[in-house]
Amino acid sequence: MLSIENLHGGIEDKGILHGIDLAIEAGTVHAIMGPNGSGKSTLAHILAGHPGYTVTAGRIRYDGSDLLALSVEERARAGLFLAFQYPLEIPGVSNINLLKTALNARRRAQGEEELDALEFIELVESRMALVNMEQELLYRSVNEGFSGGEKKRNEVLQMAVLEPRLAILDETDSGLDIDALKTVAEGVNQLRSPERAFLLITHYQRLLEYIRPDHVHILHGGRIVRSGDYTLAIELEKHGYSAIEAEFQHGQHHA
Amino acid sequence: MNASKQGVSSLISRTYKHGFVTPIESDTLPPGLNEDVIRTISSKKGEPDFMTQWRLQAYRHWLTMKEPRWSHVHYPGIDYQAISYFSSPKAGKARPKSLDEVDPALLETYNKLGIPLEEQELLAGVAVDAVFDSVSVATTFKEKLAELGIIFCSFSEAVKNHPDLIQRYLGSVVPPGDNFFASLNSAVFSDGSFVYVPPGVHCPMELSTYFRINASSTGQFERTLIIADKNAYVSYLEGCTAPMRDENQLHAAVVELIALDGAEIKYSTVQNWYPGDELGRGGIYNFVTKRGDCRGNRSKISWTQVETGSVITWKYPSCILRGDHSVGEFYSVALTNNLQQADTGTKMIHIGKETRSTIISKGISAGHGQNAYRGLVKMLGSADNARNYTQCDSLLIGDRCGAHTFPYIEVKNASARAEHEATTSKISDEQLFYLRQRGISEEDAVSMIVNGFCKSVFKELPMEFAVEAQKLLAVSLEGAIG
Amino acid sequence: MATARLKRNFNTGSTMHEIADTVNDYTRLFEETMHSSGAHATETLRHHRYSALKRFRALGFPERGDEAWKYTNVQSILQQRFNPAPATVPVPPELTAIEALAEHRLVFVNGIYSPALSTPPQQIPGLKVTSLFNYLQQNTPDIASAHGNDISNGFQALNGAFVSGGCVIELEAGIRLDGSLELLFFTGDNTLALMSNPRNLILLGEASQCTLIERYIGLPQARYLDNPVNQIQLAQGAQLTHVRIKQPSNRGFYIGHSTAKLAAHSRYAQYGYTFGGLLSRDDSHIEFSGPGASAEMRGLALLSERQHADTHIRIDHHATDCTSRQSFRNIVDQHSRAVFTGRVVIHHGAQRSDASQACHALLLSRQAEADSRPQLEIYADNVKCAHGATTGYLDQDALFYLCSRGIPHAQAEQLLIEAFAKEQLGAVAEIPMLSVYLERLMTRNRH
Repeated sequence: MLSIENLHGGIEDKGILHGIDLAIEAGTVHAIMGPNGSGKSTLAHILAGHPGYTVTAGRIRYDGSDLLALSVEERARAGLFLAFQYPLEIPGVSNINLLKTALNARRRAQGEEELDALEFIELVESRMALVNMEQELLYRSVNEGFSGGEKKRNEVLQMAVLEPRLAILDETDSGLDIDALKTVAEGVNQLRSPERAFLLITHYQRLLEYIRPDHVHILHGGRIVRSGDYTLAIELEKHGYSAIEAEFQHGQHHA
Repeated sequence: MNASKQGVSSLISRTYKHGFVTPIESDTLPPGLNEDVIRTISSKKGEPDFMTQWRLQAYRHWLTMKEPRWSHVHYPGIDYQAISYFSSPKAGKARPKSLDEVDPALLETYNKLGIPLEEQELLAGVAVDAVFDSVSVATTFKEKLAELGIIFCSFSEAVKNHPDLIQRYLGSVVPPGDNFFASLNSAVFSDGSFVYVPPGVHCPMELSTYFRINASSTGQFERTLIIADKNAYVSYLEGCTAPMRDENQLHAAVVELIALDGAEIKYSTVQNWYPGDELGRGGIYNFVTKRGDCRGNRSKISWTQVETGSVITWKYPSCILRGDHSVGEFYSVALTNNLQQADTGTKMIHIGKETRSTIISKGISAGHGQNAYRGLVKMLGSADNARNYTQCDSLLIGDRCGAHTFPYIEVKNASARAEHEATTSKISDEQLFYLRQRGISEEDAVSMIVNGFCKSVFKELPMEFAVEAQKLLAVSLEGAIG
Repeated sequence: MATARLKRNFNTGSTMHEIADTVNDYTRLFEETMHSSGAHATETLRHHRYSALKRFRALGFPERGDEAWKYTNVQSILQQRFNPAPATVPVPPELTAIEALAEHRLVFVNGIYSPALSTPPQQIPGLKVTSLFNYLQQNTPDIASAHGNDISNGFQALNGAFVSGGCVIELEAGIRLDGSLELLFFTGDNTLALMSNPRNLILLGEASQCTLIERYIGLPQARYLDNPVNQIQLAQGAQLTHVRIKQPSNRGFYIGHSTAKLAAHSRYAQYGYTFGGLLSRDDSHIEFSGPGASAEMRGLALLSERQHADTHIRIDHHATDCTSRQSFRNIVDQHSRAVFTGRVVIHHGAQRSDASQACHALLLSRQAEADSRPQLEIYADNVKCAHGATTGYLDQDALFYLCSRGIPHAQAEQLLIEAFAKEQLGAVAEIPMLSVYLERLMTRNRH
């Protein structure tokens, strides 16, 4: 579904990623872990097409086509979803208006009919149960005055309504208490399906206790330095990033 | 950002969709202004002598006045002798008695503008007075309203049929010598709408005037007078469009509202005069005086305006809160794109006790547009416990435009309280990215954010107008980003 | 008709005729007095005086309809004729009673430097204090421009023509001055209507730092016109704390004008306090010429009787990344009136400017009036600008709270008024002698 080859890039002139290789199959859950500044969020933003980030080398194929040639909204309509680490507030734009506009934009792009108001409400209400969200939040301005937990649940709700093929969760666990974390994880787990892939970006192993990944990758200095299964996350939890860093630097000296 | 660049020029060229000209024979006075022209206008309209004298007095006063230059707008001087002060579609001698007699070309014009004059049509709940250049061409639902004692007719008819009301109220809110443009209007005003709602009557439908400038080299000087008698209620809508022309045309209207004890007037405007092209050629100079007088206790006047058109807008719909416990409101969205300039706001003059006013102003600047809020809140010594709350927000789209805020707060009563807040923001790249990541196009995302910004004003508009206003805003912004 | 009456009230101001008469009178006065020996200490000064007079004749005084003077009518000033002080005017005994607020103090009586009363700084490395006239003998400074097109109103030009003295303070790069420097201007005579036209230049070198106290005190009951001009230049990274205390007499007029040009990363803080005065008007114009600079403008006017105080600020953001803060409070009692106009202009290209304005007015009597005009003019999109203004009486909840604790109503009011005023001390609260002095003025009991 997604294949990243030798990806180099960063913010403006500052190189952050120095050759990422990663392949994600439909139906799998990948986790990318790494210390602060390792390039986790940069990868997420480049995949989503943030205009502030530049790609200097490498290529990304998504469903066989060149992802980097697509605009932000084209990627979204092709089923790529980014759950933001810091969801934005948009005054005066109601949550439900955002959901409806986004969903219908995608349906139009896929040649489907737009949902009418009734169908749409039914869909949204069925998805709200997934994230245990209060109805009232639908009619409030997007994320305005939401608590940290509400913002993250709102991201998962948008994901549930838009039904992406590839969902990237950028530090969705940050700033959540344990109950909110469980709710968010349950929501994600219910959305797992053979057609859908997830890329979880996280600093901590905690989230992975609730959403079991098939693959775990450790990002360091803009490269994936180790890949493995869930046990890698447990190992990391035990020894910390410093052990990995030491090992990596050691290895590099000999390279 | 790249996506929006393509096709920007094609977007701009289709921006103003009301720019057509109706090919209709007109009876137009030659350009120029003097006492004879004023007498001619007055006699063409068959006015009684008091009206002619009133006009002449205003004209003589106008001659002593200077065109105001204090506002934040810039334009070359206006040659008042190059303007034609009267133009009416040729349709026999008198105004048609029914729609069947109205020139089909005119009916077609209003249909094209989305304002069908056939009463049973789309806007079934709205009574319309259609003003074409200098004259009112049709007023719908008159009979139905008359059953309730409501007078809704053209100004010319009111002068003939209700001279007592005209003599009593005309100029009582905006005196003929009030300001340069109001004086000019008082001298040469051609037509407009008149509304009288009798005591205790709640007007069952929206009343509406649709103003259309068609002829070239003419000015439009309409006059609207609305009186809500004791405990009456009326909601009034005003819309305006004009053809695309390379020349600037002057629109200098006067609107007077009078609310007696317990009465309420809600006045909404969607102003979409031709804004000129992207190089600033052509467009309407919209220099308008609108003022409401809360003459009675517990009366209320509410102005809502959506200003997207005109190359220059200069207007301050105001409230004189004379009655105790009276309420004034001003809700405004003003958008300037390309080379448009707007200097708009309000005046809230608190005279009575326990008077309240609210001002919500949203200014949007794009392209090279200049947008200024100018508002006066004045609380006189008599205004015990008066309250005002003002919020002015500006949104900048691009770094070539300007957003300005000039409040004037004058308080002479220690028990009164005035609060003013203003903010300035731009559409952030991060907000755009967020919406685009959800699959929404950049144009739609901008439009969504702008509409969100204006929400607290749009909710004050009657339903049909609110939808219109949102669409208008999206169209007016096309080509603004990228 | 009420609307017509309202309109008339708007149009207060002087007529062209009165202005022309006054301008002619001062021109004659210039010709009579400025020929005397000493008035033109140097050819440069002579040149300055004449070009300023020319400008004065062109500008006249603020007239009816001038937006910048909308709320301040200078007619009462024009009705009188003020003379430059003759050198023979004796030093009033009241002056000796005025305590110093800093170790080093320069005293000007009726705009003329008084060596006898001054304790100028001696031998402080990097600090040079010169009298304006001496300075002009050796330099052809930028003040030349201040006699030209920089002059925006007739009072400034009047100062240029009749300039009576003043000082030039120069601080070398990197010098940080401990303690503060005070300039005390004492004006007024019991028999003559005098005008004082001092002009001060404050020039701070790169990364230098100092605190300047500028104080204007009028002789009680004297009729006079204080008409000072300050020009301030901060080089890169320089920091100036500028405290300005105005205590005009009840018959005195104060019209002041200050300009400050701020280079990159410099910091300017102005704390202005106006206590009384028949009519006072203070204009400050701040210009950011380099990036990353900041200006904090704080002010308080405490007025009663028929006093009138008008504060007028203009801040031009010409450079990127500059910050300006304005915080003004006006307390008006009895028949007094306070006016605040603050305009922030963010010029094209001045991205990441951060500007805020707050103006709060407290009305204590039915006859008092407060007028506020916080204004933003913005030509750049990536900026943070906001302003807020409130006008009204004390917070009723706070009053109720204090009363519920057993504090008598009048005392509770007094407490809240003082609290409202003292917030304007800001960083000045940390300057010992000064803060005590200001607090005393702020706690004067109501009449």
